[in-house]
Amino acid sequence: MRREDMVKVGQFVYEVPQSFRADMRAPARVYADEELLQAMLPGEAMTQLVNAATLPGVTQCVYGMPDMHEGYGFPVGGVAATRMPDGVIAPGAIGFDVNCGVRLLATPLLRKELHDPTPLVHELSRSIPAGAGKEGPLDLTREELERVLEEGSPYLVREKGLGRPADLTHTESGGCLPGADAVKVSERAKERGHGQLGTMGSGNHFVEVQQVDAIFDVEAARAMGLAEGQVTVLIHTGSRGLGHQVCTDYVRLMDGRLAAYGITLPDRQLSCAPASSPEGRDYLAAMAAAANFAWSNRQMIAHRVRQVIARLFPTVKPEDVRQVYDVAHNIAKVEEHGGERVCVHRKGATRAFGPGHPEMPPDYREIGQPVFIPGSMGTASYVLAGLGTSEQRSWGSACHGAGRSLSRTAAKKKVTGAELRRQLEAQGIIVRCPTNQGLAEEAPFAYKDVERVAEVVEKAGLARRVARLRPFGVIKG
Amino acid sequence: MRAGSRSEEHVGEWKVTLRADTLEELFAEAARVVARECGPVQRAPGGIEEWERVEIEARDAEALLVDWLNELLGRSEIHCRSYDEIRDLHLTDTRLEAEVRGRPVRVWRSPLKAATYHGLEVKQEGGRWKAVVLFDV
Repeated sequence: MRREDMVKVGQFVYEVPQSFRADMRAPARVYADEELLQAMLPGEAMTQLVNAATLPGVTQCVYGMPDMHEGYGFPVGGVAATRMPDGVIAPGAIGFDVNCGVRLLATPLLRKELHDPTPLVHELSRSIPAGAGKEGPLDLTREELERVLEEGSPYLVREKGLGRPADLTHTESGGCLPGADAVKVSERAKERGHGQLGTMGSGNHFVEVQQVDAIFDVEAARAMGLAEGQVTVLIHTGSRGLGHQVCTDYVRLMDGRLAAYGITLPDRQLSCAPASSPEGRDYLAAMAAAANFAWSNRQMIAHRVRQVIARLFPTVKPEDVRQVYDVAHNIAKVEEHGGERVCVHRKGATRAFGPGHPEMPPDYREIGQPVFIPGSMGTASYVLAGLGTSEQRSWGSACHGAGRSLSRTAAKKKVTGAELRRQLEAQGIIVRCPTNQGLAEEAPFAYKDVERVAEVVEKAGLARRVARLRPFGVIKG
Repeated sequence: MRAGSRSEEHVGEWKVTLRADTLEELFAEAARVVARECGPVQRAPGGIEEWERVEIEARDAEALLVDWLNELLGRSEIHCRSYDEIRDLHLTDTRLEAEVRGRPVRVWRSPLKAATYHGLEVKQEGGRWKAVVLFDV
């Protein structure tokens, strides 16, 4: 894709017109400034966004968020909506890690009261299994696993006592996507996920201990219970092997049915089926089950965080660690936008509904949905609040992170894990990671500038900045 | 010439190019690539690991390769085994049969979530077989 193939249609909006390629069914727009846009042009990210615009039933525009980068099939940081009931559902436009997402916990602790945060970081790393594979703390029976799949985190909170009812109101979709059916999840997926509940996984997953180091919107920060100097914990993980297998199973199934539905695609990884078809309905039911598993996974990890904090700080009760919110960033949801019922695919993109939206809990209805943009270890993360304008501009979506700019191989060529660990510790950041290699792959310089990304999100009218969180403890997956 | 593999640059995921003299060797090399990512294995006394049968049908050779890799990824993760031994591998354009043997992995490290169809190639080039596969990591 060349810069001249794109038209600037707003201060931070660039469009690839539908006329660019004959198979496009909608224009493709990206939210970026010139620098972020230039970073998107090499590689396949823009082509993948254009490919997303060829999905049958796609409506209005497909969107790239400011952190968009090259993925497989659909770009990471891409959003596309298809008309219901007959537009398609595409598992590859959601990703293998179904409902990968972020949960923010606010503690009553102040950073200045923690003279040495090492024991906190150390105990968290001991309590939360990290790395690929790994057995979690819960040994679920098959019946319990199926209840997790169909009922999500409310099952863990109400029947297992693993959390507070308020966690559920502060979780997107209440931690349970309706229509989940465990029968539509393969035995292999259940076997892969069995034992992984309450585990972080590997790659870019993490649990970060942070302090609130800047407040930009006092009213919204107050509503979220955030104040300067406060200690927060950010959890980033998803549906583990269970979700990976659900995506694998249904991409394969739909790839085999493309001809039957008369669908031709520029990339087989976008394999899809009408949402109203048997394959489409089955995938939606299986994806919802995987999403429920992911919310339960983050619920379980949050429970362990609370246990550790209450054990180390006797004046703090587990319930004093409040959940600010939990957002999904790899998911498809049937939503209403402007009177139209659509299936919004968000891959590496977060929902960002504005104030007054009926899906917001009462305490956030005035401020909009919390949105989290995590940085990478040495850099800050941002808390934002969704804006009403996002519903016209991006199907109510914002970005999910800083976005990778360097490959893992390139990152490892620039720094070793041991060197990076020393650099971060020199900045006052305690690091726990199962492998030095995994640490180097996630080096802060392998990501775009999170400050710039957050600024563009705000200036583009997708979400507004509320607070900045600075890490002092990082537990990498 | 020996079968081999090479990592290619990709911003977010892991892309690998495989080369071999025959299609069967190409698929066996692909299996070894997945196995190597699993982590260090336990070398148990010979003969105690069992051979496992794999049978896959797919609509073309590309899909067959992706299904083969995903089959091994799934088995590896569930059983915490590295399937680095392949025998009796028989291929047609749409069917694969083989026996695989896995060794227990001491420390599971595989970052691989799945093999994808994106940018997938299986073709003959310069008298050898070549495949390009992108894994989600």
